[in-house]
Amino acid sequence: MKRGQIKIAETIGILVIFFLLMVFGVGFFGGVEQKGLKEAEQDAFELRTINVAQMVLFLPEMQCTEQESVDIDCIDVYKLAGFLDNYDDHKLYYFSIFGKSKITLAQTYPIYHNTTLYDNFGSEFTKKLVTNIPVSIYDPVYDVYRFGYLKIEVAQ
Amino acid sequence: MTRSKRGSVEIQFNWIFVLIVGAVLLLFFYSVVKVQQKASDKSIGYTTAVDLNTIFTSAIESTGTLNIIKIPETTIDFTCYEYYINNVNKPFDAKSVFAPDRLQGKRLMTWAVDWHAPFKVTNFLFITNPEVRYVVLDPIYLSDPLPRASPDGHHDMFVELWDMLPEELNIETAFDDKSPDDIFVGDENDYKTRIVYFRDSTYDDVLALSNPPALPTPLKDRPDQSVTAIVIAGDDLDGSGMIYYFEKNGANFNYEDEFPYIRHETVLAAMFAEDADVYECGIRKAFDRMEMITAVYQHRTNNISDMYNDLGHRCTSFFTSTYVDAIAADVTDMIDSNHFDKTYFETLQHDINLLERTNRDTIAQSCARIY
Repeated sequence: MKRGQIKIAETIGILVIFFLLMVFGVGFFGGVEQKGLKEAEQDAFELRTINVAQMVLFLPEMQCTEQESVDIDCIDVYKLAGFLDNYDDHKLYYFSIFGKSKITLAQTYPIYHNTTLYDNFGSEFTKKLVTNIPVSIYDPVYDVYRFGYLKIEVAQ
Repeated sequence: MTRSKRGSVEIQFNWIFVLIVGAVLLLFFYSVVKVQQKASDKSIGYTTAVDLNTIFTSAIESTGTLNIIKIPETTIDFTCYEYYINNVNKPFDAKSVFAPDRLQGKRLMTWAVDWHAPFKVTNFLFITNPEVRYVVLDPIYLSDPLPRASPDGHHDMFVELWDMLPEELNIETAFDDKSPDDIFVGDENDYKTRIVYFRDSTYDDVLALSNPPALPTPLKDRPDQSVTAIVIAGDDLDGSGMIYYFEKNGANFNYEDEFPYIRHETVLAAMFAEDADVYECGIRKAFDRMEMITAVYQHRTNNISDMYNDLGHRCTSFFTSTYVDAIAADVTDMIDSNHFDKTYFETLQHDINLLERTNRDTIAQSCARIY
């Protein structure tokens, strides 16, 4: 082998090792990035759960109101009935704000009673987050409050 | 001689080889850096867009409070339907959001108000930043005798609007005048300036074309797209009226478009919206929501009426649902005709007033409230 050929072979060897190291480096970097991406995805999912919970609590279709003031964390049973009655006409709208989730109102006192407000869970999801929010349930005719909670399940 | 010739060829080949490999390596690293930079921009855009989505969702529910949000130095483009950061877009869905077309800088301001008509329908979200300047002009000296002066000597609609605006906004006031030299609004080199004028309900599109508001002299040299104006034409901020939009063209304002308002929340929306299209789009979204909410109230009123009826209760008469039905019919007519004009808004306002009165009666009679 000539001296020149040996030199070229050396250079090629160095390059091969260099590229091998670089491939390892890129692979490692990709792994770290992917982990970060998964964490970001999880954060976004948690944020979406919070958003859905907020949207439910502030829906004018259910909120208790007294003229222009709003009673927070309170659901008017007559508005709720109206919401359920009209739900089918506006499915798309509610899907746009609640997405893949299930919202249930559980009355716990004086009697236990469950009402499903929205169910678009589907059968395929990788994970779900559940948030329970205590609410009062108001009957304006008898002017009485009952206790319960909103169960908000958001699927991914 | 032959040997040294071969040696020099070998050396030259080595150099060429090293140069080619070097260039390939440089190109490779350059493209890696470029791709990484793009990915990083997109990632920042995505993170900011997701964070802003959460901020906007919670801001729209916390009504009455102006929030100042510190964000990374960026440019955000707004339309009625979505916002864009670094080519990442997020939809506003059904939210009625009113904002300038572009906001730049490190701070955002959000302010939400409930829209009642007369029951709560939806919330309006206004987005701006301290670089956008709002000038509200008091029209008290525009005509003689002085029109509708409030106890403090200002025009009553001006006072009503001015008192609603949070002081954290970049707002200022001056007196309106027929002569542009006499409107004392200085040039502060603002990126955007919106001037708000008041006129009474006799102002119409003919006057808007022939007699647009006067552009303050110091702002004449500003770029045309940086100064816009609206005229609020009506007799009551909580009634109905018209909003006229104007764009700067040299030393004057040119009439662009118009759309009606109903109640003060929509007047605020008009003030924060980039133009008549954004304002109209947000109001149409609000009316779509109103149709849904009114249907819930119709159902509620009927159910309560049946319940009171079964109980033989004295409150039954308040729940005949006539006024709720009238409002529902107004809204459906408007949406079906796709024609949102002043007359529709006046009829709706009339029915809203009647429902407000009936609701007050239910309170006086200790009955359940209609809303």
